Amino acid sequence: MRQSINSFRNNVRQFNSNADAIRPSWPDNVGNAFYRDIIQPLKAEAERLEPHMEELIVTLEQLKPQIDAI
Amino acid sequence: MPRSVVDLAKLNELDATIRSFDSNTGASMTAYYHSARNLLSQFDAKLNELSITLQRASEALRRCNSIQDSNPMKSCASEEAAFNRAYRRYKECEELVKKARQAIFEYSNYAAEFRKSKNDLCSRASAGLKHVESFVMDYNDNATPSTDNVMSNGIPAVSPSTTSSIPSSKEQNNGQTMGDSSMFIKGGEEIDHVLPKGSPTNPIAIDMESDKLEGLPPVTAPDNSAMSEAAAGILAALAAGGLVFGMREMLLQQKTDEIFEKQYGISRTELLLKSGPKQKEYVAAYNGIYKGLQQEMKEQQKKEIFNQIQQKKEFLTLEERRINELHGEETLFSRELVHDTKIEVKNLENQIASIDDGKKRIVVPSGKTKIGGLSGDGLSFMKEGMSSKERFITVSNLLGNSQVTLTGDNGKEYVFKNEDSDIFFVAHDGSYVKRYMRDFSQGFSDVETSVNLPEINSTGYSNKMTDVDSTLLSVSAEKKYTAEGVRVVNKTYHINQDGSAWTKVVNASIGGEVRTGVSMSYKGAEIGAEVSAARAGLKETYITAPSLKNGSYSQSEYGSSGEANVGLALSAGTSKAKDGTNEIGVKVPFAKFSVVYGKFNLSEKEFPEYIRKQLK
Repeated sequence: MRQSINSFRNNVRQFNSNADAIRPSWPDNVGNAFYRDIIQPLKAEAERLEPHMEELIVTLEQLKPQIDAI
Repeated sequence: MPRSVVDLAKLNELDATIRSFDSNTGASMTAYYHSARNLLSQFDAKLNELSITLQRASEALRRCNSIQDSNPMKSCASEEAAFNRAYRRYKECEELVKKARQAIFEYSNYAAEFRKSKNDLCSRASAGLKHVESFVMDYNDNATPSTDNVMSNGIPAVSPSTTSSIPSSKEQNNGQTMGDSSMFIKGGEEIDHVLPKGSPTNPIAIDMESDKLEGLPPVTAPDNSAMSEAAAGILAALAAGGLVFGMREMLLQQKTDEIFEKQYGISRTELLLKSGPKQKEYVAAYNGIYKGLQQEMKEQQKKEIFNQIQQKKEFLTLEERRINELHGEETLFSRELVHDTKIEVKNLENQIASIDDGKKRIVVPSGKTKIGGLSGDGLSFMKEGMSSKERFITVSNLLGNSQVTLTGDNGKEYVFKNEDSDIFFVAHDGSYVKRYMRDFSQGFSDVETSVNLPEINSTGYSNKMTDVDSTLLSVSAEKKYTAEGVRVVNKTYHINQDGSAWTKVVNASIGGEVRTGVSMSYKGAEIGAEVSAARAGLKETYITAPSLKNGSYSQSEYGSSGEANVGLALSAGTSKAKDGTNEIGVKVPFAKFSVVYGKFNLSEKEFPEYIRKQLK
């Protein structure tokens, strides 16, 4: 699970980085609209999900030893 | 000041970035979720293991108790201790697994939300990029490319971008002279502007021999099937090739050319070399094909999007079901109904005095016979029916269209209507028929078929029941009592030759007093009576769970000391047989069973098999 969430995070980071790198090459009006309507919401959604992924991992990681110990 | 062209290479790069984000995050989320589910499976395996241990401990205790019946000196302390230990471990594990399920369920909700937003945004991005592509292309057409960047076809090549402002569409339309991005022939009167003599896109000089247009077929509507096929071809090529600059327009023109030439026998280029009214007519026809093709593509894209939405909906439905199963909200038999059931009670010595339907109760006179209904709380019968000389048995919610009919030997019928009462009892001399019901509001109807059961004893009774609907689950009220001294003394089974119905007679010792109970099953649903081996002040009860083996029912029982569940929670689940009848009934002793097996997150198909397996 850890590996998967890391992979997810890397994907998000890579996306942010690529999007940021591309942005300056665009005319402002196109770039701004695209960033406002697409890129930023995508980033925000991904950032919103991450803590929940983390939370589930933590919960399951805490439960596992308890269940194993029964 | 000349405008510079915009860097279209970045367009593809951005598209690739978004596609990559879409697929990579999707893949990592799937992997993540599978990991969580695998972990949960491990937890389930542990829980299952503990349930087996508990089952064994329960059986050992029961065996010991049986021995104890004939040998009061026999001690079952170690068996009891083992059972209690197994029970504690099971409950503890069950609680933790429940937490894990809940956590996964909660995450699933967030994940589903994210996926939805992501898919939506990525779709919008894709559509937006296509739009931007067209927009930028127009812009570049109006920009002044450097000499180095002009390709042989006259379209400005991609060059490093600038941040100059994009012209408005109005600006673009004005003064457009070359390389019209849509490749669409402007109206006939503009033909000279579309393809100027010696332009890079059309180096051929215009020939004014208009007579060559003579003899062409008249202008007609384009061939729909050809349009449809061409549009599908373009979309397929675009889907395969991804977002490539100019490809859409190129394909569109190519296909338009093909259709036009096939229909009129003249190529686009040849047409444009002509002049005169006839030429204008054919140009209009060409444009009609072009526009029609565009429209057809849009329609096909819409259909495709609609299909995708449908698929997503179907996926979501599956996902919802999975989540529900995971969460346990949608239990296996969640909408179980009992239909067409009638219980006929005989040999009641005419001692049923009256039924006060208005007050929703049955008045039972003193004497040996007891008849009563039990409301969902599981208390009425126990408290009043068994102890009072004048027994008042309350049956709640005697409303609605459904009913149960009791018929005494005198032929008098007592009709019980009940919308949501759970349990119904008819008692006789300490033995009593017990019927669990739920959701009568779906309706009972007349008797259709019946199973006649043997008379149990000289003062006994027989049951008659009708068909039971395909899905049946009745869940009793669950009431806990503290009890002691209950032992099953013996059991008798009657199984019909065709295996469709069976009865069992169970004698139970309750505090030294032997009681008899009868239960029966028809087409898999247990509907009859059963020993209710406990009441207030008693401590133990038995819960039975028949399973189907070799075409007949077998029986397993679980009992425990300590806290017991009275009302003998009965759940009968059936599945539909191929011939439309109920195939198998699995009686799930709800309360105690839930202790033993704990969970019901199994599909309808898996469930009977699971029960059978557990009972082996």
